[in-house]
Amino acid sequence: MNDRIKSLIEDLKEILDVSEINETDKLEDFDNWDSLAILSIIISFDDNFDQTLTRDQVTSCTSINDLLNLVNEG
Amino acid sequence: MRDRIFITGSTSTIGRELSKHLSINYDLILHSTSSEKAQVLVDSLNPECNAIIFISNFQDLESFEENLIQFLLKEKKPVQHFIHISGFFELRPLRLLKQKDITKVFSINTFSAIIAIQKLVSKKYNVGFKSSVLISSHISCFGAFGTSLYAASKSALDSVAKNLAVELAPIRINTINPGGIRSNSTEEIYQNSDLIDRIEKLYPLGLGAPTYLNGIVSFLISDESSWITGQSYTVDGGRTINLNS
Repeated sequence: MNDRIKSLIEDLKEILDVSEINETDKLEDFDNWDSLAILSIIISFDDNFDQTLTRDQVTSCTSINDLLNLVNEG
Repeated sequence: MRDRIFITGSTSTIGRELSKHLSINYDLILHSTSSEKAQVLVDSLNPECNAIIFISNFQDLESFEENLIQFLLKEKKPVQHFIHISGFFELRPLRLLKQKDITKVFSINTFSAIIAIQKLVSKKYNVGFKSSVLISSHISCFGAFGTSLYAASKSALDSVAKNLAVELAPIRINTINPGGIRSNSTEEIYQNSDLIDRIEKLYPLGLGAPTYLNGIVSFLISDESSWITGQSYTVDGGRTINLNS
C-alpha cells in the first residue's frame, strides 16, 4: 500500500483514538467523530497529499473507505 | 549616526511594512530566507537608509549562530536594536504533532531570537546594544484548537523578555502580542470568506492590517519608552478582551 495512504490511516487512528481501523467502519460510530476530528482530517490530507479538502467533502463521507476515496492520487 | 536595527523575518508581510517604516529613521540589517525578496525590500526602503542583507534559515540553528558571528565580526559596526518578526504558524492538533514539528516551530519562533540576542549583547561581537522587541502573539496567554505548539513557542518569548529584561538591564526587552493580521502565513486560515466574516465579528476593531504594529514597535525601541522593559503588549483590536465570543 502507498506510504502516504498508510500515513493517512495512522493519522486517522490517532484522530479517532482507536488502535485498529477497517475500511468499512462507519464514521458516526466513532466516539471521537466531531467537528475537531473533521478539522484534523483536513489537516492530515494537507500534510500527506498537499490536498485541500472542504468541510463538506469530509462530512459527505459515511465510512473510512469514503475518506480514503477522497485521496487524489494525481 | 543612525542607530542600526537587526530585523528577522524582514520580508514577511509584517516585516516589510515595519522595515519600510523604520527605514525613515534607522539603518537596517534585513534578515530573510530569500535573497530575492530581501533585494526587492531594500529597493523599496527610504533612500536615506543604509540597508544590508543577512540570509539564514533558522531551522539550522548551528549554521545560523556561526553565520551571525561571522557577520558581526566582519561588519564591526554597532547594532543597537533587535526586532524578531520571524515566526512559523501551522495548525497542529496534538494528535497530529510530530517531533520535527516541535523542533521547527521552536527553532524559528523562539531559539533563533535567544541566540541572536546572546550574540548582540556580547562585547566580542557587538557594542552599544540598547533594546529588543520580539513579536509574540495574542494567543500566548490563551487556548485554541490546534495551537498548542505555536502558542507555547510565543509564550516562551514573553517569558524570555521578562527574564532578560532583569538580567540585561539597562538593555530593554519587550514583546508585542498581535492579533490576527492578514498576511501570507495566515492566508491559509483566512481563505474561506465565511470564516473571515465569522472571525472579524469577534474583533471589536476588526482584523489587523500589516502596518498596525509600526507605531508600537517604533515606540518600544525609542527613548520614549526608556522606563519600559519586560512587558508584553497586546495589539489585537480588542479580540482577547472580548467575552462575547
